[in-house]
Amino acid sequence: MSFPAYLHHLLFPTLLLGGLGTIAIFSLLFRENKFYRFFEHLYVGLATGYTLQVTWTDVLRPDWWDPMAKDGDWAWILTVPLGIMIYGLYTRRFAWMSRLVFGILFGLAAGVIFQGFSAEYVPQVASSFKPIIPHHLVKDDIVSAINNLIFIVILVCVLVYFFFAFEQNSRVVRRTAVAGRWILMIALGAIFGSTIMTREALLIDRINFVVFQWLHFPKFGH
Amino acid sequence: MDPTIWQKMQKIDSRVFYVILIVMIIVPLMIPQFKLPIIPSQQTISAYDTIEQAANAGPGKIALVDSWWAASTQGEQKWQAKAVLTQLMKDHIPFALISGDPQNRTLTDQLVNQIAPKYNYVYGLNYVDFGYKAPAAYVPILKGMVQDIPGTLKEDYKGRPLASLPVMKGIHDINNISIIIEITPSNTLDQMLQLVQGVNHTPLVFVPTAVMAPEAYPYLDSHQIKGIITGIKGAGDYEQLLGVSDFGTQASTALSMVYALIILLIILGNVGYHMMRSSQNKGEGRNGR
Repeated sequence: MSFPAYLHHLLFPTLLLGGLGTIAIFSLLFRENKFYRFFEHLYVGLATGYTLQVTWTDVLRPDWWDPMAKDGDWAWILTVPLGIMIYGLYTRRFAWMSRLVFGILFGLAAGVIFQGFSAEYVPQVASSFKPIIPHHLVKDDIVSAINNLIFIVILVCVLVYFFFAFEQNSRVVRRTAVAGRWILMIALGAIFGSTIMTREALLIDRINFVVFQWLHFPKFGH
Repeated sequence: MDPTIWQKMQKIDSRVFYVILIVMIIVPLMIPQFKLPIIPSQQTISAYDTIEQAANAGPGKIALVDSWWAASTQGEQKWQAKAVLTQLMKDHIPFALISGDPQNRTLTDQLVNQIAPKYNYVYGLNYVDFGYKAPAAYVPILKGMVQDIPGTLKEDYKGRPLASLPVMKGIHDINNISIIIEITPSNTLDQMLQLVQGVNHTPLVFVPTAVMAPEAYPYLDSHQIKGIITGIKGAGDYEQLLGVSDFGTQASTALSMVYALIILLIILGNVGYHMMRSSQNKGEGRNGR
């Protein structure tokens, strides 16, 4: 790529903004600075503005405004006072209005959760009943029986740890609870490892953008 | 008194680490031939197999891709979504897109437009986009879709009636969904399990960011989800299964290098700490004598 072409690429508005924005946000690692603050506010403003625009073009206009204004489905106008009533929350005098709407929403949510709870958790409970005695003396059955045994032991230990309703005086209960706590710590460690993976993946993507897409560093043998 | 080497190891400037970290990331990206082995995980293989099986679902069935990722998580999810969409098109599976994030529809559209020409995928004929739906409206939409998809959604994102699109021919309700693919950085799996998958046990493949994945393993064990594609590592695994080498593969190598660096730094930090403690104890012992 010739120098003028490279300069044109470097100063191309979307690439330039993306590159500068990425460097500005990462500059916080060096120290707090105004360059970082500016781009942080710019991002928040852009994201909010974009969300507002999409909410109007993709949700409110086709699902609410057009049916009401174009198709004559006038009943949609009734959603406006209901929506305004929620803002009663901010004044003591009209707070009762918001409670009416929230009451309806809570009722709807409770009904949905009631249905959803069984759909989500009953299969979990059912799948925790696992055979710990192998059906046949074949390798696969023995291995899965050992797996199941480990599963049951872990399940019981962790459940015992969460028995807070009574004092854990018995040594067996106490030690089982301690084992449950250790197992939870290992699980939290695994979750933390996954968190690092997410953060690093985002860093890798940004470095790829700045170094190879914006600054156009060469890739060898590509 | 000058600090010992062990004390210096405890106080290395974090900016030095950042520079090493950036170099460790740039090197594998700069040399694409430099690849560490990628061994696809069992849950990624299960996800791949489940989508393969959806290809045999026959006519009158469609895959549903529920997408929630945005610019803030595209470092992981763009590549996961790209791999999954590539497989859908490669296997000629008709699919429908639905977005729960305002930014997602545009980003997913860009991806689809990039892949579709290669597999001769045509909008309306092979795939449809239901568009962005506000998260607050998702519960009634999902509940409605279980019983009547065209009646609930009515139009695609361009305002065209769903009934007029060839890809929607014979698509009525949840029984016409061959597979659900949930690509999300948020806690949206629950509502999909509660309101859709739980109703008729439609196969569900979960495509989360790495940070979300551990919470989903119980659902894998109970077969409520059929497979998990975990973060950028999952994207790399998936590219391996698809036989392509894209950014997921390169990023997986960079990720492994970063993990190796982190482990090395943890070991160095601990060695420095323990050596400093033991030398302090020895010093105290000598003084005590």
